[in-house]
Amino acid sequence: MAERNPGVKALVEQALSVLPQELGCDSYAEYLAAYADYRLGGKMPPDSLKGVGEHLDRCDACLEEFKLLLDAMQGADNHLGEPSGR
Amino acid sequence: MALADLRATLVAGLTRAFGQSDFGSTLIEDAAQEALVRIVDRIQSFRGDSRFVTWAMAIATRAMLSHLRRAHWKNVSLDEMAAAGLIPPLAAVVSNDENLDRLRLLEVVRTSIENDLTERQRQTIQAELAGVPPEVIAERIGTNRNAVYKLVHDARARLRRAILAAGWTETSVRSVLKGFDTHG
Ligand SMILES: [Zn+2]
Repeated sequence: MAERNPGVKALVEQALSVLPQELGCDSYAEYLAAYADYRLGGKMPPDSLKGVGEHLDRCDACLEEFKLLLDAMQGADNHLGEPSGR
Repeated sequence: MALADLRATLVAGLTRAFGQSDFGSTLIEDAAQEALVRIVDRIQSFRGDSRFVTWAMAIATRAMLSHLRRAHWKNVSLDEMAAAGLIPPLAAVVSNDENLDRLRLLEVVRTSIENDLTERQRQTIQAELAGVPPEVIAERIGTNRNAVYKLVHDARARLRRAILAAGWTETSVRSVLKGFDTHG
């Protein structure tokens, strides 16, 4: 089943862990930068950013975007000669 | 940071994340330029809860990724996307080595997508199964990513109800899902 349609496993997992209320991708997009800085600095994000992490667990598209942002910031920090994170 | 320095930083970041070789440098330069315009446009909304460069890079990453995703699905209609995510009926997938529980679960999901979802939810979930990203689905149905996520969320909630109503428990579903990894 999984090899025929790899998305089905993810779909069932996401259906099982669905929350009563969830916001959409655009609602979290503006917090990705702050969340990324904590991750790059190896620190736990504060509770105010908890929703971002939960959304990334449920949304492959935003997770892809977030991982690319982390990669891009490594490139940027190398370019600037700065250590990553806050 | 001067605009020219910011631009060079965005290009360095995008090149690291997206790998220049795949698209050539022009696309990255264009995305950095497009992002720069947005950054200047939205500078008042920078709240300072991240480093400025991270905030700017998030805008650049979004611009680049959106561009690539739209280009990838450029000539594909919503119907074609939904068809690509269609789960085949049980009769079409049975083989001797198939795990029966997996097939039963697959069938519940398939029939629930067919019967319990609205037409829009069905199209969106199937497009998602086909790997279509939300901004592309949003573009096709003339809405935004938040509205697409709402469709997906409500569809997942209906699937969850259907799975539980078919006699599955969370534990039994999870144990079948585990088998996906070991048996393919
Ligand atoms: Zn998302």
